Amino acid sequence: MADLKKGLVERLFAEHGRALQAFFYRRIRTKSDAPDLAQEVYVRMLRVSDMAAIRNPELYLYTVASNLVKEHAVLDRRRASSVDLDEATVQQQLGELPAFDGQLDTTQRVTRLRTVLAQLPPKCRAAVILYYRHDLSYQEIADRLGVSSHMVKKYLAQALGHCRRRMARLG
Amino acid sequence: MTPSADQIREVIAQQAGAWFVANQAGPLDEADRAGFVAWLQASPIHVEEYLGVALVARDLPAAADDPAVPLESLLAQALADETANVVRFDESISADNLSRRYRVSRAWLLTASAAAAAVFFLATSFAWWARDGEFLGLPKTYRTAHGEQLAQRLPDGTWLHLNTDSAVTVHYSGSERVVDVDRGQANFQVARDTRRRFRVVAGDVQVIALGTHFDVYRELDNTAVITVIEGTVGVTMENPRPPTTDTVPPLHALRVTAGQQVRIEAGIMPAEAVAVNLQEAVAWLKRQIVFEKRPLGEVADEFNRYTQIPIEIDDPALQALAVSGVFDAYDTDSFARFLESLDGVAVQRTGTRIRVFRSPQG
Repeated sequence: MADLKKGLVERLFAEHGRALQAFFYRRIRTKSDAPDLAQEVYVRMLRVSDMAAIRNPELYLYTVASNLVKEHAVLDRRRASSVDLDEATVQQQLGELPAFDGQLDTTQRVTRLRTVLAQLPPKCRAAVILYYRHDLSYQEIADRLGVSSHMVKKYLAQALGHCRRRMARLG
Repeated sequence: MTPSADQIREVIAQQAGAWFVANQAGPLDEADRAGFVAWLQASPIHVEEYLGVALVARDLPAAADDPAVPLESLLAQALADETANVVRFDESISADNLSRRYRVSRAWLLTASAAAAAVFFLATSFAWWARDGEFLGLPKTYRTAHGEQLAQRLPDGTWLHLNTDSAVTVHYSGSERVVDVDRGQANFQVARDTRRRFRVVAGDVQVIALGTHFDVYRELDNTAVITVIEGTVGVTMENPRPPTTDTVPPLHALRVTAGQQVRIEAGIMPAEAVAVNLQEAVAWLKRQIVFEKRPLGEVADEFNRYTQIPIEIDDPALQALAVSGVFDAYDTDSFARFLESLDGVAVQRTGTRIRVFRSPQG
């Protein structure tokens, strides 16, 4: 399960990452970024009549998003040239696309994220470092910080939300 | 973005973070899964923030692995710091009244340095934080401004969706869950709890439910419209008996089942509920306006609930014109273009309004 999820997230953000990162990290979106990815993912999720039947909605979300990005990549490529490209070539070329305006490479992103992390309250920041750097469990982190493991989850959730918004604003 | 739109994003990002952590902790149970799906389906912004959080989480291992930050000093800081995280990080920013309360408390805390006061504040903050206000039995108000919507998970797992220009106050106690619809429209996906019934009050009207999914719309003239999507509710004008172990709706209550609607106008309870087009009734959850052969005047009023630029129709004949369609509630412009395409209808746009009138040749 965990591997499957990791694989999907990687597929979503690494293979098709450039366009997607530009999408999520750009502060101002212009009209020309017509395919609003989130909107389309949303519409596709609404189309499923019985979401209750989906055992893992999170995986489903990543699958939908990932397929959509792939479709767009194929469409864009086809529009850009009359040559019919098979998927592997498309993906290879995508990987070689030059940086968009305002797009961050991994190093820049990590540097910014460190700055954002430094703004977190100490316990919240410590929870993030212990979880993501030292791979400790919620309970282990809770013991070190003298809080409940429920609280640790809260710190992590708040840190994720906070980082997400700050990164989007820095975009 | 306006400050309020930014604030809403902030709240949604926090909710996305909470769902991400919940998913990370292992497969969700059935109730949480339904809650997560409802949350995702509530708005494209939720989808966007969730994917955005997933992207941040992917970069976090690299960012956290910062040799410039020695773990020991970080831990020392964390253990020494007892207040900052409580004051600065409360999940209750989702209810803006509560965050105002926090700001007041924080200012007060800073000026009054008495240790006893700090301890009291900490204790109450933790209680708030831990049980979302439920612990102290304090009411909590959720409200939306013109054009806003809100999806909020209540402490018992019930999902509350608020439509534009709406306000509800939640009072949970050990024996009963009560929500007052102060104004506007609210949709409840009630978490099952056989010990505590769920009661919604809209003016004089009482709606009593166990686990179910229903919609309550308290219109400006105090008319209450109750629509049931799943399960059954009891609707009554009587004050219910105090909650006991008996959680069944009162005997005199009008039973409203899935696919039915009841409209209580001028305090008069109809003899029975009527069948209703559910897709139309809960379209607002998808930020849509759905109408089938409805008078144009009513449809325009519906759009005006969301828009900053109202649609004005003076001609009674046009107001009565039957129209059908499915529109994005926030896209008045598309609706105006649709009207323009109709025979004999003309539309005039100014910066502050959209006027609809009969075209001379029509």
